Amino acid sequence: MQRVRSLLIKELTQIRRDPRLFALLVAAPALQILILGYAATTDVRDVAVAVRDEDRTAYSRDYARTLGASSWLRVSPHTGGERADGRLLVSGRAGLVLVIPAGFGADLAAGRPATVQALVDGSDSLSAVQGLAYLQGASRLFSERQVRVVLDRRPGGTAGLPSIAIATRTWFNPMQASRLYIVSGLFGVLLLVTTMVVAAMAFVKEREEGTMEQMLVTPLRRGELVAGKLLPFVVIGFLEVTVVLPVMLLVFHLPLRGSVALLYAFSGLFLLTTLGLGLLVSSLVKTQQQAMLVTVFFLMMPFVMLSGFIFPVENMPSPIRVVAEAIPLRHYLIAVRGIFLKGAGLAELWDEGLALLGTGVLILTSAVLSFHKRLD
Amino acid sequence: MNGQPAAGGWRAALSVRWGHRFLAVLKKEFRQIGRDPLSLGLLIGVPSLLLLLYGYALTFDVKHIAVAVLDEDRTPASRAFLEALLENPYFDRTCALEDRRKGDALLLQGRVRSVIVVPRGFSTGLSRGERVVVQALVDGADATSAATVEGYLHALAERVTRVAQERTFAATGLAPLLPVVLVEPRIWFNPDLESGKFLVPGLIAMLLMLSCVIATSLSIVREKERQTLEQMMVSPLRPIEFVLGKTAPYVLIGLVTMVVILSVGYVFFDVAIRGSFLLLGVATLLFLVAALGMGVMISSSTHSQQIAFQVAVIATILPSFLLSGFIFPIRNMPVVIQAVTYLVPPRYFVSAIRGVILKDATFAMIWPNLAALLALGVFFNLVALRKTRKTL
Repeated sequence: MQRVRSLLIKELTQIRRDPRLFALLVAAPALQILILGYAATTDVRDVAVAVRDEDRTAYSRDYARTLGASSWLRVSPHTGGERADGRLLVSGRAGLVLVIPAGFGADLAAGRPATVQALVDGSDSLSAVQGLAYLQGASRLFSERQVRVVLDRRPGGTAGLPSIAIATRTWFNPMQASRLYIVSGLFGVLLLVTTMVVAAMAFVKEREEGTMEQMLVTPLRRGELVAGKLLPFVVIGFLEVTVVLPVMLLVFHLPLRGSVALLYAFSGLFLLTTLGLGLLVSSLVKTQQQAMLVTVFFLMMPFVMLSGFIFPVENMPSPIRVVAEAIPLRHYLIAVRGIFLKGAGLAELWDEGLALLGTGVLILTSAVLSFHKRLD
Repeated sequence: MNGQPAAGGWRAALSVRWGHRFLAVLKKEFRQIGRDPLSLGLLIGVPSLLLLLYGYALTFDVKHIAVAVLDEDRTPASRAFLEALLENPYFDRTCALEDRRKGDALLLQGRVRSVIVVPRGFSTGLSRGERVVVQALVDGADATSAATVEGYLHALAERVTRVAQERTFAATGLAPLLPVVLVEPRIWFNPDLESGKFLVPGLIAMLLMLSCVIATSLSIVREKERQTLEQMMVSPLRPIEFVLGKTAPYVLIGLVTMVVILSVGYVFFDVAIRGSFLLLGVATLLFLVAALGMGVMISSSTHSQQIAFQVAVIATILPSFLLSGFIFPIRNMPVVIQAVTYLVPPRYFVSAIRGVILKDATFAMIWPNLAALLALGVFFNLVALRKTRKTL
């Protein structure tokens, strides 16, 4: 214990001597969550719709007006003819071009269905799908009104017409702000990114700088060495959580429905895995550049992409889902989102905790075993 | 440069010497890269490998949404409605519930994404020609998926409604048609709306950005730490030659990576290049200069590899993922954040290569992106130069 303590003192002194690193570690995540949290929203608003009205009747104008009333669509007329359709889409000035064909009004007046054409820019498939859904919604509204008009005119009065409406009630995030979901995910991702970097540098830095020799001639055992390297970073990790948390609550108004203590407990378990992986890399590579390559490409990227941070894991092919389950960030994010958004407690999250603890122990053991007290 | 070279010849002498010294640095860099074949292989091979993995793994298409059903009506009509609603690849009916409370628990545990409740009186209401309301509880924690689920539900309910209405009309002897507007979508550039086509250009930009910054962000600071920079200091080498010599090899490596990665995109994800290869090449070159410039700038402004690594990670991974328009449309961001995105090179590259690859965009359509990349490249490299000059 005494030996670990002196190593701890040495590590902490080193961190303190490099105030830039310390500031970077603690302040950068708060700044990042501010910028990225505001940027990250998949809510598609203001889809630019260019309407080419070939019909020019009261019906077509009324239809275009109904679309314009939707707060999701930004409707503008375009008169350039068929040629301009393509130009508008290719240049990205319109996400949707709506063509109302001649005869649209005549069809509706005769009580027949009328067809409009929607040309959609599919290169941005997310916006395309959303924009199309808004367009369908607005068209439905217009259709319903037309049906009413016909019914009222019908002899025999206004006999009812059956219809089924779906009333959705959204749980946990009633405004459906994707921001809440993504900001809570960012919390985990930032913790991962900052702590893993320092851990990945820990041993290889000493190796490159030649100070490793001094460590090796001390009576420190490898377990103690790993523990001494790990603990200061755990402290920094908790500090980071403490700095980022107020930003999430005060700036982004994230509800914290669960317990803060549980959030810290899960963060601690998660830190064991990220720091453990970093140390594992650090003891295996030869140069700091290799450490960077390996952590960025083989750990951070897959963690960010496959953990469900943005892309839902449920939609991935099953072999990838197996990989995703092995990623600690995946379990941490489920826990963080559960605690923040759903008010989940240990009763709902114990299996995620167990998964984190299991991988953490496994990783740390391999880090200790892979660290040889050798110079090469 | 000591002494005064003869009047006419000094310009030529300068360029010869310049070229000579630049070549020497280049040779040294190539030799150093060659000595670490592992890193070189990783730099070229890994982006393609990752594109393969992510292109396969990632999708926004929501299918097989787990749904729990509570049928309080229990009539043929309600069963037929649920069948029409749920017998498709979008929804999986995972369980039938007996009471509402069970549904709440399932949502909380995340076992189902939605609970659909068909109320008592559903079938009598329909036969009387009334408007009946079916309730859907949706897990909104993941807002994007939730919006998709809602969209599906509304569209499917509309289809069922239209069938029911047309049946009523037919029964009353009126024309079975209704004056409704049908939207016929025609999707350009990506007719099947495959997320792959949409994601691949963005992934390419992100992966290239990462490999460029990883390649260069430690290069100068490493020499500082190992004090080999002093050797450079006493050589007649000038900062510009030094900085260019550090980046030039990686421009070449980056171009090779791009060719490999585009081939992977074509072979595995069917992402063919519709536009001009030349334009794509120019865009890539400008992007590489900017991305590498950013790496060199980080390297020359920091004092230890550890800090350089940290800064590089902060400046690349998340910004090129979240601020590039790769996933989140930039026009939806607050103005201040939009201003920040102007400093993110992938922002311009994603938009340029999406244009060229998917839409056959011409130079006239993407030149602002190219100009911005050029400006950023010059800026980053100038800062790097300035910082290096100070150290030297």
